[in-house]
Amino acid sequence: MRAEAPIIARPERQSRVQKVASFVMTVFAWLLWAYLWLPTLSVIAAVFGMPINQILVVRRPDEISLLIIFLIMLTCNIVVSAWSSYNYVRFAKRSRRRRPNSASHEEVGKVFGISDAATLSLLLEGRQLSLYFDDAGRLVNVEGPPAKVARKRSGRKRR
Amino acid sequence: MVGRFLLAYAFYYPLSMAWVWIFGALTYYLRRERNARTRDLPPDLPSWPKATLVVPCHNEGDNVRETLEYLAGQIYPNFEIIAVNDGSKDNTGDILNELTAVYPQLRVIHFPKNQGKAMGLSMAALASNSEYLICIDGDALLDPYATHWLMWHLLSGERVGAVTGNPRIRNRSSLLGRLQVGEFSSIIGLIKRAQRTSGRIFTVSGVIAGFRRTALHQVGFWSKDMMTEDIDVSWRLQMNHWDVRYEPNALCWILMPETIRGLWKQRLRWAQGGAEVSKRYFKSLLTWRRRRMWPVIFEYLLSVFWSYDMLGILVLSFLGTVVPLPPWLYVAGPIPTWFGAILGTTCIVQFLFSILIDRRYEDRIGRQFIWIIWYPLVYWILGMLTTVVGVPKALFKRKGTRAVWDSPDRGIR
Repeated sequence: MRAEAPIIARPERQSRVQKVASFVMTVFAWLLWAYLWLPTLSVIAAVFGMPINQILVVRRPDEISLLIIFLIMLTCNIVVSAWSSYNYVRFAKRSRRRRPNSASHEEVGKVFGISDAATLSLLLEGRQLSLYFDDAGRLVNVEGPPAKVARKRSGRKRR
Repeated sequence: MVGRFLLAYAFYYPLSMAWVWIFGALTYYLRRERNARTRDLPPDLPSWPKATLVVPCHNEGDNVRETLEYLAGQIYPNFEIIAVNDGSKDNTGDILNELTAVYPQLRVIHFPKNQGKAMGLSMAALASNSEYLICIDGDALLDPYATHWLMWHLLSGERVGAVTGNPRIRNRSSLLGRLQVGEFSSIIGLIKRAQRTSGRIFTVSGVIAGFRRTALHQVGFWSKDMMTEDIDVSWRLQMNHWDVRYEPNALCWILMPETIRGLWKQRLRWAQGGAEVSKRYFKSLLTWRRRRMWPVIFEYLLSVFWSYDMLGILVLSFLGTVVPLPPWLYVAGPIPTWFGAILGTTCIVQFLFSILIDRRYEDRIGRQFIWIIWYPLVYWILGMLTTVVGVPKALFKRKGTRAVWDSPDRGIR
């Protein structure tokens, strides 16, 4: 089942100028894209008898370039398919490295300078917390209502 | 000679990459999507460990109620929600406190000052009671089945460090909004699929990603000084041999800029972020053990070169109209040749193919096709300019500068 998208589409909130500009710009972009197709259109027109010297205003295709483009597409396909298949065969069904033991709350706390059990417990259980940092971005104090639990130690990282 | 080389590269690079993405996405589709379960019938799980849904917020007073309503409506049965109010100047904090009475799973962390998204995510990881984190943005709406799909991946392999979902654009009132619908579908979706088949993903989408906390712990959690913390953490996880996956069934509805200024700021941040990450990890990637990341950095460098190549072509074309240039610098004018027709056709094939795939996830996606014709022009120019500006900004950025929030343009509401 596809998602029920909470889309916000309110084009009416744009000014008339914005709306007209978007439309005109989009038409222009499609024309620009069609312009890229002039070589093909010219050939088709020539097939139907239009005078070629008036229509074919572009350079003729260069066979070597077309061959290069085809080779690029082929190479991209081969490289992507081979590399993804190699990865799939080698890694999809098995882990080649073992997972380290799960980091405990205490170990995570140490990374951020929390070593006392009371502060850690407050962090893990508090529903409304205030965290204070020094200018270097180190955590210096943790407060949880209603009572202030941790002492302020401004400018020092707790280890 | 130089002029011919510049033109040839400008043509052959996008052509080659378009076919790489198309064939890669086709492989993914045939292997993993065709005949697969639909979004609303996710696979059974062996267990239901607690998941922590993390939502960092900065000035999200207009959005956060709806965001939390969607989070609370997840079909996955065992979760807590941690909302981080990151120095908001509006009423975000009050709303979050009020909502703790509505949603028993909700916990709120307040930062008195803006500390940046990376800090918000890291503190949520610290306060989490779970090994599994599902992170979204404060203005995003998570599809009810998304957590289940992401958890399925995280539980299916012990080396799965992260899974990214499928961001879908909500705001489609303007041409820019509709263009981005096409972009996320036919460019970003296709690239993610193709990269998944190659085994390495350039980046998880910061707006919807699931993480294993142990993996984050091993790589030091999110970097506080990177413009794009999502690219950075994706690279570090994969450099440490954690698997990063893509799950298109994990939908997340997002708001995107609908003004040129907003879009420019966002894309400049992306461009600068990519360059920052490449600069920081380039040397450490040059080891045989990290060879699977080589295609990622190689493709990135090719894309940067393409931007400067396009700039060179524009400059030479302009100069050629003003002063006579030597023949080796001559750049031909915009007369269409078979090359143009082939590039244009490739573009249309890519759009059509992506729409065919995306019909699985969203109704009436084909309607956006009419507008998407602008994509190559608008986004190639935008991509080129943001890269040209963003790369030097990244290269000369002072090390350690903290990245903090900047409220983005969220389109017409």
